[in-house]
Amino acid sequence: MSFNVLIVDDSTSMRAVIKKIIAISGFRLDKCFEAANGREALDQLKQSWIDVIVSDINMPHMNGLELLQALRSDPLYQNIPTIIVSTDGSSERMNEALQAGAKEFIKKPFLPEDIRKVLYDVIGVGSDGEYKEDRRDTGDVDF
Amino acid sequence: MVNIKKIEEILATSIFEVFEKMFFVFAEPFQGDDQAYRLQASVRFEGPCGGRMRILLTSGLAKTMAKNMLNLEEDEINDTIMADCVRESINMVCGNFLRKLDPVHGSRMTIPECDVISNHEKLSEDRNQSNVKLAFSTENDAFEVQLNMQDSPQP
Repeated sequence: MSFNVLIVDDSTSMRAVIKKIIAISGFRLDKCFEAANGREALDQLKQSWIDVIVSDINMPHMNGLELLQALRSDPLYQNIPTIIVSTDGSSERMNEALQAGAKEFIKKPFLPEDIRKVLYDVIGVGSDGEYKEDRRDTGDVDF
Repeated sequence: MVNIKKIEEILATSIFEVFEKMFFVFAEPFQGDDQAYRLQASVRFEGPCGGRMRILLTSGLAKTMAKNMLNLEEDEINDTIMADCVRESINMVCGNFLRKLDPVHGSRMTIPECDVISNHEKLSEDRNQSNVKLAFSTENDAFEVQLNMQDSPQP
């Protein structure tokens, strides 16, 4: 099984870097979608199946924390694991993101290994490429 | 507020960290004549303290940063890509600096802006108003980071 990733960042360069890291990390990537802010991310979610979201915080129109809140309030999206990648790595902001539903928090600047490790951990695939137990939330969803 | 010397040290550490990790650019402190800076990017912040951070750099360095960060050939790099990399650089330096200054409390940063330096007279005036001004040289280029800080959050 391969995965679809949505990268949300207002910097095209940062999206390209994260995309490249994921592509060369051995991660079983099917499709990599991009969005420049939270609003675009929500639009993308309506069109495509997404397994994991990697999002910045500081973005125009809808920031990463607002995106997390929108995801958690929607039964369709609330179980999609979201990784925050941000320059603001204060404990206050990290707690805010984790309480809003983020699975992990990566501080910019990062090393490729930081992204790879967290993605493997969140998706539940070991560094050997073998699946660990499914670590994604499997809570009941009311439709 | 932390003293200026300490702020300079923290800022320099953040600059080295961002430039080495993300752009593979190794910088050294530089004290010489003003360089022919062509691009600038700035970001404002508020929180435990408020202020503005700005980076000035040569177009050669902006191109090197884009090339290294995105693994592109020189002819694939355009002004839009360079501007985006420069904006991201000040975004990361500022965020890194603020969290080193206060690891507990978060600051709010604006979306960084980048533009071409056209008025060098105005530039010199702005530079004289900075609390902190650190210049660096790289292999073939140079850049400068300026910081204006206030004790209380900006309105």
